[in-house]
Amino acid sequence: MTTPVLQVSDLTTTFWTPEGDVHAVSDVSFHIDRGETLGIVGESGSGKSQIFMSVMGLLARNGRASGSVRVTGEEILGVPLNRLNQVRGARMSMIFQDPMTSLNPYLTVRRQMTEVLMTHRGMNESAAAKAAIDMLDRVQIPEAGRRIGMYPHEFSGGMRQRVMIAMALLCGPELLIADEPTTALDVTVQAQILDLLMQLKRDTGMAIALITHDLGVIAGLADRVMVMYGGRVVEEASARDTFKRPQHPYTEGLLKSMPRLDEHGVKRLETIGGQPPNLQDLPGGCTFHPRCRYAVARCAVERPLLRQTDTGRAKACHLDHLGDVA
Amino acid sequence: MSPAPLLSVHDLKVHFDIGRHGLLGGHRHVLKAVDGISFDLRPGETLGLVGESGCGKSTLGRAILRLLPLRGGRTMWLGQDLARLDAERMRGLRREMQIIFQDPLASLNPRMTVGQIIAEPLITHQPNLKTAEVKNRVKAMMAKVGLLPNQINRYPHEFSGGQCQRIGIARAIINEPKLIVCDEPVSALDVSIQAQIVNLLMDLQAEMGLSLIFISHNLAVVRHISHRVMVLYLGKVMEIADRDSLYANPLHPYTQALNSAVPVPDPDIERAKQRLVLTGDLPSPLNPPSGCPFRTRCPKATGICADVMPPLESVGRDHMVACHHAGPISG
Amino acid sequence: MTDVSLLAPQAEVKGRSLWADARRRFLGNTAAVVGLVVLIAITLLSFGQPYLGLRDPADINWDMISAPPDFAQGYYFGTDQNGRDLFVRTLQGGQVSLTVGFIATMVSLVIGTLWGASAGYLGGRVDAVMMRIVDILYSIPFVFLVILLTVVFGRNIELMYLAIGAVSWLDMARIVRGQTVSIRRKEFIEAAHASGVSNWRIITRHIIPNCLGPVVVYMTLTVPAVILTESFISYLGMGVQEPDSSWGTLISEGVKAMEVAPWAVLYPSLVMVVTLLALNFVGDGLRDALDPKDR
Repeated sequence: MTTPVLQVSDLTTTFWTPEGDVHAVSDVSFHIDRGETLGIVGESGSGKSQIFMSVMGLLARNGRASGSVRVTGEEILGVPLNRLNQVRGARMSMIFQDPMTSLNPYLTVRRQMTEVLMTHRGMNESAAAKAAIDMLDRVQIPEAGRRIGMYPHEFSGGMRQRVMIAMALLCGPELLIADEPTTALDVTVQAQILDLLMQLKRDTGMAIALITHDLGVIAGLADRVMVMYGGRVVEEASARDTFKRPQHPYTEGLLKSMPRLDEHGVKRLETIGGQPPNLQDLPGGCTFHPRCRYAVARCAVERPLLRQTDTGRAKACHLDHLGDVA
Repeated sequence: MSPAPLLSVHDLKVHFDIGRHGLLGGHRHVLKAVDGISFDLRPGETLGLVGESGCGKSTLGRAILRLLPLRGGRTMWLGQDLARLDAERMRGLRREMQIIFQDPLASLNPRMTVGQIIAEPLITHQPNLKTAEVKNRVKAMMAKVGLLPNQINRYPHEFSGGQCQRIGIARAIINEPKLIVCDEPVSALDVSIQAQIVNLLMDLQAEMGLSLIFISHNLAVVRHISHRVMVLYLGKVMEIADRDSLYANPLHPYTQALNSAVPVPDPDIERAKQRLVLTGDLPSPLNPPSGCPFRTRCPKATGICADVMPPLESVGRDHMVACHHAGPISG
Repeated sequence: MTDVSLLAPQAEVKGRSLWADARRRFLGNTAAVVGLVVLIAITLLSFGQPYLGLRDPADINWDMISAPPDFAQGYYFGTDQNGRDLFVRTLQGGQVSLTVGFIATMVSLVIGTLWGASAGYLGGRVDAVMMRIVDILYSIPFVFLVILLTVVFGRNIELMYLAIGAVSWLDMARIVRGQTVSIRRKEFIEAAHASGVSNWRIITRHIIPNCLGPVVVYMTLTVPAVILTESFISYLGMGVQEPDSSWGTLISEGVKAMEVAPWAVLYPSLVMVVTLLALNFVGDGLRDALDPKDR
């Protein structure tokens, strides 16, 4: 068996606030294999982004992560910054919802891209520029040779996202972390970016962690899906199982509450009642029980552990089958 | 046959002057946010407006409510021309038409309590109501939209996004309006909350006989809630039809592309799908293409598209499309 | 659903307003609270001076001319070259300085807020004209204006309140205008419009309450600025006159006798510095407490 590209064990991320500690991520363990695409789904406050901010060492100053994060077997949580810098950007890189957060508005794209190659790869200026143009070509930016001299704000939203993807791919990372990469884009442009990611996944064989709140985005791209709620993993399964046979009431509720374009006839949308959890005041027992239609007395007192239910799938729920108690 | 329209919009235009207003003139660009849009809205009907950023859907919603000045065209409200009303009569009419916003928290004044926020339209139009009566009406309204009436003295920041949207809805319906413009009302909400708000709007519509103009970029939500759907692109109508024909039989290449671009939460369908991916980006609304605005990204575009903007033509019952090459998706 | 509804279905829950939040944060800030206490103490002492059974500020003690502090006889700050009790005179000077600070700040608050909110809300041409007027007033050299006023109307204290107030509202107007312009685009203003709420009500109910945060902070910065301005003018000899005093005149006189009686400049300066520091701490505390980014 090969070592996974990313192995996260017992990751807990805590933020210190004047109102008390907030556990954004609690005891999360998972792995991503080589060439695999893992979809991470959850609502706001589910901790889905903070997992990867912890992995990348990008937590806000009041945040602390504990546990273990291994990139191709090497522990990177808590290592000195210069060691971490050799890993991030080179072996794993991250793209964000808003490309402007990771592009410097005062530097040309050329300057920003060549800088990465010159520091990480030790290339000279002209070789770096050539590699950068190749990469822009690869993410299908027309006239890359001319456009590389432009500033980030001169690109449209979709093109900017492509530039950011190109920058993330410069050093040939084994893992690309994409945090809501299409959320800010129009739907036709989103389709273009999703197509691009699919193509890159096929061509490069790199692993992708795709973080999103939109189940539709994951359906086409992910091999496996991890569903987050209140800072914990509630379900983990292959994409097909997640969408066709969800085992956790939250996953089931999410799928049912989405209006679908391919469905005919108007029926009332099924809903998940209540409000998303407040991380500062999480309910006891199962975090989801106040909103769960299957909840039984046990759910309020005992927190279900993530347990294996089948080969390659797991859930954190006391029930064995949904529909046991209706 | 069909009842008289509640609202009748004819050739509506909203243009913005962008650029310098300096003494020396400077460059002056005109942004044609809404450029010649016409439609009728029947009582109790939901009209969905879909389109991507810059298509003018939000501008259109605000222009209908006369929150923005018109460059041309007419909006008739139950037969009277809104543009001819003086400020005082217009203010009186405002109790009949309301708006719900995308960002629920930003649409509520952070310094006011929920009770004060919901009561504001009521006391604006009925200043003589007794305080106790206002409070009762507000509490009744809170219960109606699924908020606990005992939370009346709380402030917006103490509520979640979905609850804030409910507060916004309570404020919109307290005067029992005839029309509500919903400007992306669920886009900022979590998936599990979106369905709650969509259901609430549909229930309220059935109960109060409201007409809704539902603006969204999410085609699936629009399909779910609307009776008729209008597709906009760079300030112009591309296609307008009743819901079922628009989704089952889209005739405009843009509608077809939009439909195909929406990801479906089903891996089998999603992977097998022949996606009709548009090339290129949206053109700048400041400098739209000549002729048909969609021609730069259109797979069917020919020479005529660059010269002539195709007129919006009826192609069937309740189905109009503006395309020289309108037709079902080919192979 | 939630336990709140089960426990008390009828009882109305009290809300936690943004102001209450800010108060809680402010009270948690030690420096700001200490500053506030010091400020209150100095204000009470200054204005309570006639009722505290202290010496009359005009009393002259011929035995103690330019005497150093003497606790046994109750001359805590010593005396000046006329044998008057410096402690009492400092308190008396505080009345003038604090009054100037307060009145000028109030003038700037009222004029500045209304001017700025109107310009920002009405926008367009009205805004342009109103803000150009502010620019023109800005360009008049302040000291020159005061000199001119004293030459024409003679020296009097009311005139100085007026002059300082007339100048200090300019900054306030600019701050409030900037705030208003950004708040005007918020959706809750649009919602009020769509409901038919009148312009006046939108300004007073929606815009001004949401501008108040930065305004309050700026006020605490205006007070020390005004006190310094008053001291400066009095130091130049154009402000308060004998036998009245202000911190500025006391320091000015003290400087003249600095070599023989250093306490005469030291103590009034010290009181003034402590007051200004306290005001700045309070201002910082308010800024942190009201800063929405903290949320």
